[in-house]
Amino acid sequence: MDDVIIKIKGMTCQHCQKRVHDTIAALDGVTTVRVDLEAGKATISYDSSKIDFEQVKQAVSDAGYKVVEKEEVCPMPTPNGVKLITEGMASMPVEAEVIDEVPPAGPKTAQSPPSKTALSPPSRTEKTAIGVTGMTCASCVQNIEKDLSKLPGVIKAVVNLTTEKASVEYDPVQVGPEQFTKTITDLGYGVVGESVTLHIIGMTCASCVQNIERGLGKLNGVLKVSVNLTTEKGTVEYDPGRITVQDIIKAVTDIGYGAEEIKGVDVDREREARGKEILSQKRNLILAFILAVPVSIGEMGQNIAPLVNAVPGIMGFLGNDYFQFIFATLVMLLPGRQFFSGAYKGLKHGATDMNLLIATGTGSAYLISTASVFLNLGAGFEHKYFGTAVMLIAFIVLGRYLEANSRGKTSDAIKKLMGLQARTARILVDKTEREVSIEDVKSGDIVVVRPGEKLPVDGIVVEGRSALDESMLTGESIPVEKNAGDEVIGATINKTGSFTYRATRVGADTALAQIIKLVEDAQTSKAPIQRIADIVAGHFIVTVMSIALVAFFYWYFIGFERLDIETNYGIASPFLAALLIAITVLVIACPCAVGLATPIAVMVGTGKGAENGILIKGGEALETAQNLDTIVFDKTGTLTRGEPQLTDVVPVGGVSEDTVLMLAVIAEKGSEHPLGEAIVKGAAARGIDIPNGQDFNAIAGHGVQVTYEGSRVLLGTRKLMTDNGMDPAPLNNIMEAMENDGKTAMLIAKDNEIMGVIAVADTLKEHSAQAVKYLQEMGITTVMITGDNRRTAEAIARQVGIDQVLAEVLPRDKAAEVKKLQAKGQKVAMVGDGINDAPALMQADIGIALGSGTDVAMESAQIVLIKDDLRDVVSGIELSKRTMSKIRQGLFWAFAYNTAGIPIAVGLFGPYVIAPALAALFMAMSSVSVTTNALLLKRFKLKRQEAV
Amino acid sequence: MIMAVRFARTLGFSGMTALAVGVLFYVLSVGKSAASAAYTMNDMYMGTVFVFVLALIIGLAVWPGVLEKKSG
Repeated sequence: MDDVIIKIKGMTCQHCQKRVHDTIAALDGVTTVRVDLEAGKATISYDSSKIDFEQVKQAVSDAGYKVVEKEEVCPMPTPNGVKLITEGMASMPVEAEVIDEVPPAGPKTAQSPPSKTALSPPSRTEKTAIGVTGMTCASCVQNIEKDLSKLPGVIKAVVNLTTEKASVEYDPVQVGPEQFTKTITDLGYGVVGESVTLHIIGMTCASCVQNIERGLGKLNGVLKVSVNLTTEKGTVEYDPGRITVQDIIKAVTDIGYGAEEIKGVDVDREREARGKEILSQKRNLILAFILAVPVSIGEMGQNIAPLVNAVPGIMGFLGNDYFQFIFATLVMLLPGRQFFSGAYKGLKHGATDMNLLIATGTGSAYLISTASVFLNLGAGFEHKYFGTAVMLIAFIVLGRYLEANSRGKTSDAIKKLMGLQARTARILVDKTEREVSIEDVKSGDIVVVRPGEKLPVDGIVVEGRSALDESMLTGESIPVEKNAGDEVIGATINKTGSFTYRATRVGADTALAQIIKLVEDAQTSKAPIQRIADIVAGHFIVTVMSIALVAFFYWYFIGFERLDIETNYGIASPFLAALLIAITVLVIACPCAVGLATPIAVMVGTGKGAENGILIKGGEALETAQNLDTIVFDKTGTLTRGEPQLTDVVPVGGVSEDTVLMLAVIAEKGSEHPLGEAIVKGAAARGIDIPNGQDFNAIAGHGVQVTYEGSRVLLGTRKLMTDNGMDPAPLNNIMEAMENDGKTAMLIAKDNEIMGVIAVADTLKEHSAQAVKYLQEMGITTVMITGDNRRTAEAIARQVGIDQVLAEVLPRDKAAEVKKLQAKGQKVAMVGDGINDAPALMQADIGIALGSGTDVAMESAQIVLIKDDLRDVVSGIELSKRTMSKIRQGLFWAFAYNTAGIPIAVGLFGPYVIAPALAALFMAMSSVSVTTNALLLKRFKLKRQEAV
Repeated sequence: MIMAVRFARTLGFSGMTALAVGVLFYVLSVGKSAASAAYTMNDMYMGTVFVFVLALIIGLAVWPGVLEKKSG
């Protein structure tokens, strides 16, 4: 007897595992076979006098797999490798090493991760996200991106205005976060420090708190420290470019205490930062209007006789030059300071943004008015423009306040997700329940949950049963039954019974934390259309300044006299006449709405998806998904449940269905064969008692034989019956009809008499057919790809209504089939769930993975459906179309404002059609309307919701 | 240091551009004031300053890109 372990290439799923197992087990001389899918190995015991190793290899090869020689490297996408490629970089050095191990000139098969590998940077790269404050428009984005990209070693820098984050991919050997922080702050923007929460051990009194706070406060890079004695927690805000968490922990230890990092989702800091910005703009707004309104009334009132007559004393006071100067100066120095400081810091680095336009416009009006208060400028300069300057500031601050409010709303999805997390957990310690903070729950802890409570972490049910409301994560409103052994997800709500479960994933590893991370990343990413908008907006400011200069020249030298401005508009000075036009141009043409249109829609779109269990990994996926015209579905596990179920029991000769089923179950009881398990489960579902048989004997490739109450029971193929002297021909029609429907039909016989036919099949998922129908209604071609034979594949395709079938496709060829469709010019999405689908998911224009699938599939896909509902494929595409429509609308209106505003401001339809202050109001409204329009996306109803 | 040199160069080129535009404005303005009484000295001076500042800002935004392209 010989034992051998062989490595097998090409196994990608349990079907492959079973196929290899059955193939080897069927060989004469093989005594035992054990196939390990994950390791890609088979352990075989065989009688070398009956069979040799070459025959085993040949059999495996005939089954469509290959026995790999020792020196060969399997090109199957490993979880690490795929993750690396999906992210386009090695976020961790270890992962970089994994990909480096793959021989570059290795044989390229369809299973090799496709071309995206080539896009990965050759050396080790890292990625960091930096919170940026002070950005106001697309030009800010351009400025930061441009300067970060200039740094040696920076591979890619992407800044998102809405999330206020800069994402930098870089070579750590050449550059680091410290330089990024410096570059951003040098440009005049702020950098938000990162925050870490530490569990501090050993504190006994208030002076311990002081010691730690003082000690950490002295560290270079620590921005803020707050230690709480009661909770034994310390929150440290720090600059990651200058100090690491490990340095902070070491410092605490050096002071004489213990510390460990608490990993979890920081809900409050994000909210606090947003709140601060809104509060700051609110203060500015109130102050601006309190100061600006009297100045404006004073300025206008002097020209309105009835107003002067009505309240002569007050008007005289408000219209006083010195009063106007003082109030206007306060406006400039307080709410208006942000524009001047922003413009100055930007200009130092050659950066232009909307601050510059505002500062130039308001500054000019203020300076000329101030000069005319204190200097005798002569005829034409009697009128002051303080009112214009301060109302400009007031309206722009109003715009910023409304914008800050709207931007806060766009991240509602993230806030909602973060808010789902439970704060405490009840765990069993020495068989007694103890309530602890969620951060203190460790993997392996037994968690107790009562009805109505929220699950704190992910885990597996140990004892008890209940129904869980998972709607907050999946969007599915019907509670899901959970029994011992079932997986449960943190943040879901226990509806009915009490149960205990073992924590498996805690902190940042929970499904909720992963979803939040994924959505955050998606919202930071940019849609390709945004890049164009950003470039246009970036150049726009210089263009506007140039237009303002040209307009100034024209109205000074030509327009003033040609239109007799002095007589018609009462402005005696050509300088002031031209200046008012130039200011209006500068103010009306601010492109902040252009910069906001795309990121806000992407945030709302991806957030809406996340709330409904559709995770879209970024703007690019959103943009591509709208153009899809072909959806390729993997069959097993995607369109179908992936596990056979009992479908038919046909008795013959007057016996009952239950008798036939009982005999079948006796034969299959204890079987680990998927078909046998399906029969046993089917019988259990019908409440049939299952007695035990004896002398169980598996007849390889044909069926099983068992003895029950002295009778011989056979279950298996036609050949099994024929070999035992029975004639299955009368049942041929029934069996063929079943087989034509993609079912596996088996005959059952007792004491050499056929008792009936039993059929088992992989059944369709509940909503597969509906999803396919919706897609077809949208004009999308549906394709099913499977390794099954054509007859079975077509049977399933008929049931689900699929347009095109790609049958008998080996797992490694799936990506090639997708490529063939793409070569015909089709925009293809691949929907799959298994490891074997990963190459095809990556090859497709959009990969859509089911959340119930493997990690590799989810990492390879651009869209992940948390709920196992294929209608979400439709919802995802619809959401993408709606989001892109909102982006286009936003960009259209943003450009329309500017396109219409500039000619009016320049005086193409006559001078002063629009006053500078009104121009400021228009500009502010353009941003607000674009943002509000994008927020309407929240009301969009998904197909699944409509169906309900 | 490199940043400072780069900024000084940008400022130099921008200043020269702004000066050229300012002088152009002033010359044209002098011509205009000779022809029309509406154009006072104040208009000329303030107009020149405004034009100079605007041109300087445009220069500061445009020249870094131009210089970068030339050097690289």
